Amino acid sequence: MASVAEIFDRHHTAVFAYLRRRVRSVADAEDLCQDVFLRAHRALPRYVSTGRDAAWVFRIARNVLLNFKRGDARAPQPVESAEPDTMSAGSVASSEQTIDLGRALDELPEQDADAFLLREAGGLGYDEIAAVTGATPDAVRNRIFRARMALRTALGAARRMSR
Amino acid sequence: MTDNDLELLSAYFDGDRVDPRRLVDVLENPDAIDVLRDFAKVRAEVMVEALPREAWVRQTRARLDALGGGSLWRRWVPIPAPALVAAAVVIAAIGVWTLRPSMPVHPEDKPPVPTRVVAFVEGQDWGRI
Repeated sequence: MASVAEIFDRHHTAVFAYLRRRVRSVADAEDLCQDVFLRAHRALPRYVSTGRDAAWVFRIARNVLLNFKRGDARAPQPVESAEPDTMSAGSVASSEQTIDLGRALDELPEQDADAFLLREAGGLGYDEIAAVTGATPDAVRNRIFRARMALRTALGAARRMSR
Repeated sequence: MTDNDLELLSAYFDGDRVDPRRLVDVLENPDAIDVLRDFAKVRAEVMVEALPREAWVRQTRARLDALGGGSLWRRWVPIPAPALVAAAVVIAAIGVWTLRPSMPVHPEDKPPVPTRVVAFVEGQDWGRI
């Protein structure tokens, strides 16, 4: 018989990755991710399975994130350090080139970035993303495509910079 | 390479169903491999440093275990609890009704009080009374 702990085992990696790319710090991602599963635990008695546990968990994650961002928007923003944060979602280095993924994602329309990260970090399919976001699968496909192309352009720019 | 070609490659990269003939045509273009490689690089970048710390995983898992309960039994019984309770009440009522003893339902029901007494007289022609 499954429990919230088992749901955690199945989905925490994807949920954390999604949240990690949506917030500035690891600590925030950890707090939010924990909150997601605590809420899932509370919501479990009312949850009727449709065979899409991932979509259910990510819907909770998205609500937790939206609440956090509303609060975060009201809170004073910290002055960014001149030193790069090695654990930041912003700068990710690879052996070939550097893409400022955090910045590139920030420049995307919110819906595009969200759909893209639900796909790439969350591992959800188009139908599941549509269920989570309330968009149609076609709209999801388009959003992911736009985001992917924008990030590809950023990747190309980073490649040219490294030459 | 057109936007439609790129969109098809993006959908293909996501495992979505695409027209195989169109896919063959698009893959004939040497740029297609570069596009797919870039998509893969972007995906790889997304997951860099996006994994949770093991200590955090253990801590959170322990916390969820400590909460207990949270059984998912209802996931396999897709009926709301109030409906289950109502169904149980109805079934119990039917059972009581079916198994009730065969006696007057209303205790006030009694034999009628006699208003006259007819004496039996042997040889009497009752048809003429």
